[in-house]
Amino acid sequence: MTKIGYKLVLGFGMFIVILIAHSVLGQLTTDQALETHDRLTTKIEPAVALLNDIRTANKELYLLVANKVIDHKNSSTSNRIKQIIEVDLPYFISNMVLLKKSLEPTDPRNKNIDTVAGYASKSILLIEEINSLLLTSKDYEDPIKIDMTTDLLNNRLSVFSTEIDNGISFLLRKYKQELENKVAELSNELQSNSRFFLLTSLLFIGFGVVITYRNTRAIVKPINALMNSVRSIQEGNYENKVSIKGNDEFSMLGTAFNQMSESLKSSFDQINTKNKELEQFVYIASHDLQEPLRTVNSFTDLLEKDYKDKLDETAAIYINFISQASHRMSLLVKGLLDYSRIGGNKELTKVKCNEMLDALKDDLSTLISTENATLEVGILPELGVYKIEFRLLFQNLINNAIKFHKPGIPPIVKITAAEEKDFWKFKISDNGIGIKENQKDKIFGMFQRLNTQKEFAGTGIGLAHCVKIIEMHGGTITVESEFGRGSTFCITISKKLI
Amino acid sequence: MGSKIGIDKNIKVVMLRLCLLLIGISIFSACKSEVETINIGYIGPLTKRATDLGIAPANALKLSVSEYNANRKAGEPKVNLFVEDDQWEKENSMPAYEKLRREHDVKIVFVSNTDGTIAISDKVLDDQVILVNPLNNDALLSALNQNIFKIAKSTEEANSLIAIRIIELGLKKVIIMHYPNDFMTMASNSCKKILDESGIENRVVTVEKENVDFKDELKSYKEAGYDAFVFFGYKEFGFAMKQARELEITAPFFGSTVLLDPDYYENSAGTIIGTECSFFTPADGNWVLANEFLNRYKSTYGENPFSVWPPLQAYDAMNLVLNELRTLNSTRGNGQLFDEWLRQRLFNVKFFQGTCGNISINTDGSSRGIYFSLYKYEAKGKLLKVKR
Repeated sequence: MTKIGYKLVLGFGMFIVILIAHSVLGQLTTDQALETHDRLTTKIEPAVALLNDIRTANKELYLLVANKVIDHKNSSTSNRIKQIIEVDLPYFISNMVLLKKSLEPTDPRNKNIDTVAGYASKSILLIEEINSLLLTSKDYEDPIKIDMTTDLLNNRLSVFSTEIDNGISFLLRKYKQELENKVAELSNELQSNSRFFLLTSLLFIGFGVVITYRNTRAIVKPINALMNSVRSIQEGNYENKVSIKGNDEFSMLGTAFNQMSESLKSSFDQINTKNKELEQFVYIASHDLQEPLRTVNSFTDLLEKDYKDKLDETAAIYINFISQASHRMSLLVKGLLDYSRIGGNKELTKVKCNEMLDALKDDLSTLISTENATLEVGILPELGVYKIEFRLLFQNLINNAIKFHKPGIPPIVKITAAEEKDFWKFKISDNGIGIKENQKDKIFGMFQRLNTQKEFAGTGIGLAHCVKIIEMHGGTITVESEFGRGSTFCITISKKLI
Repeated sequence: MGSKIGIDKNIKVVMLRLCLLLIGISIFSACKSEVETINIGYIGPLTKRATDLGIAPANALKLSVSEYNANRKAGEPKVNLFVEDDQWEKENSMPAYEKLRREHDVKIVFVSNTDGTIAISDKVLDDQVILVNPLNNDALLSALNQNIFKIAKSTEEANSLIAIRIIELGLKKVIIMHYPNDFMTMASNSCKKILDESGIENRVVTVEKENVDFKDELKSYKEAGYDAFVFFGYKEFGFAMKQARELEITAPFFGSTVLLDPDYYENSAGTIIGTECSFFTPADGNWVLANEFLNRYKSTYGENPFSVWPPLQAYDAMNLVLNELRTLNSTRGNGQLFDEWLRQRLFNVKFFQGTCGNISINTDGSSRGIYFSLYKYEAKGKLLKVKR
């Protein structure tokens, strides 16, 4: 795995480990608290409720039997007594057996549970005996039965009842003590849980912040260094080297980046050299081609002029073709020469665009009046530009706008400018013939023509000039057009020309 | 040819696997299947005689079942109740039971009539059906078999109240006339036993089933000097009461738990008033639960039962059984028979809070916790507790 990968995995791994540890510890403490709570709700509270039920039943039973024996209230009490001794108490006794099972064998409560259950069982038998003795109201008239039942009540049932009550008191005290202990334990556990979570959370948050900071720094710092170098290269400073310490991927990336920038510099140098050579070649070729072309043109003119009557009609036509072709070639060569000259001027000059366009309007006055064109110029800025090329740019665009007008419709050319953050945006729009969608990409190529010489004369190099001029000015040139409805050329001129 | 044989073989293998899968799924489903519905039957007197022991209990059972079904949770079986009329004749019990088994495959049957319970007791054991008598609980029923449960008052205990009352009143010579069925015979015998133990002269007489003319017997009893008349039977004894008063017998009358049958009053022409009997009202059980039940009963059926203890007992008995049935799918062991499971569950009921009181089930299938008191017939359809 990569070193950055290790760092990231380590960071996330640490987080996951911490999270798991936190969860496991939390679960353990919660389980402990739940166990205590479970003990409270399923063991202690039901036990206390059962003991209270037994105590209530025992007291009620004693009072009912006392009423039956002493106050002779036989019929009104006997059904309830039966209910208690036949259903309630046996049920409680069976529950006490279950209660005992929930205790440790050494628990002192076992003995008391046995005592209470034992005396409850004895009470049942005793009351059944009393019931059999006092079956009807006639039995109350029998002093022997009354003596016997009074004795059973006072000397035995009262003892059983007291023993049951004492046993219940002891058990209740123990269960309440356990209840209090468990409640305190639960409270402590909850408090310690809360503290534990707070402390570990703080610890883990701090740890997390450190890990995040270190990892983020380890990643962001070299990225920033690379970004700065990229920007520097964008500005043409190929000498800039990125410096990233360490031996991780970013350091390797930095080294590769430096190698790439050196390679780029070398390539750009070679391209520039080749470009210069090419321009020189174009210049020399176009310049040197002019001389023989002038000779051809001169002699062709002489032939047309001096041998007009001596040549037959076919020869005159051929000479005319030669003359036209050589003149067109002259124009092409001139265009090439002009193209190669663009960029020769390295001096930026402040140009007031409106003044420049006024002068341009004068230069194009013949064309404007011939074509009955209207030139509408908005408020334009003053810019630091390469003056001759900048003027040529507008000249070409206005010239095209007038030239490619719709037959019979006077051309209207509008020039506006708008300021953007890093550049000025000019729009040159016309109401001319427009450009088909699939031809928009072609128009900026050298010697590209969309129309025949017959329709519109020209060399097809004007917009190529414009592209080169715009590049000199760090801008872009685009066209928006709808065929048959005119075109709008958008050009941008950088504000940061060096 | 070889390719065809290969394809056939593949199809056979696939079919075999599918069959095995289906068999596996079926076995798995059978093992894991839950009981979704349990059918329960009720056989009681809806016509002819003792309808107070049949109509209102049937309504109470229906109410209990509908409340259970309305509140049952996922995994708890649905319960259907089917009712058959036995006209309080034991001869009708078996056909009614067989009809319930044949048409509804009932797994539990509630039977009001003690003789009817005895009549079908062997059959229910053979059929692995649990029988619950929701009205009577006596020693004879407890001696039948392990599938018979009696969630009701103790017959002997309830009727012994009459004997105790006779002793209290200092009456010396008692004639006990009873209808010829098990319940009334038991009632008479339990009463006689206590009277014998107290040395009070008494005589037990069994009457004819459809007899409505008791003049001759009554005249002889009057001449013999009986000072207490006990009528353990149904509405026919209303005629006996009327005829006794017409013979100017002034001795107090005592009756059983069925005095509130409206026909009883009509037959007696009002001479039933003053008769003391053992009876049960909400005040003798869980007053709150009993009254809630009676209110629901009235809102459901538009009237109160004229005798409250039969529907109260039936309602408790059905609720107690349904309380166990709701655990059927979670507590029944694999392969455990339904009657075996329910029997064990019912034997373990030691404290069920019902409208009649806190009920427990004994190991012989009898129950404890429902206790009758002594009441006096005060006016038509009205009993008052006797202050002693």
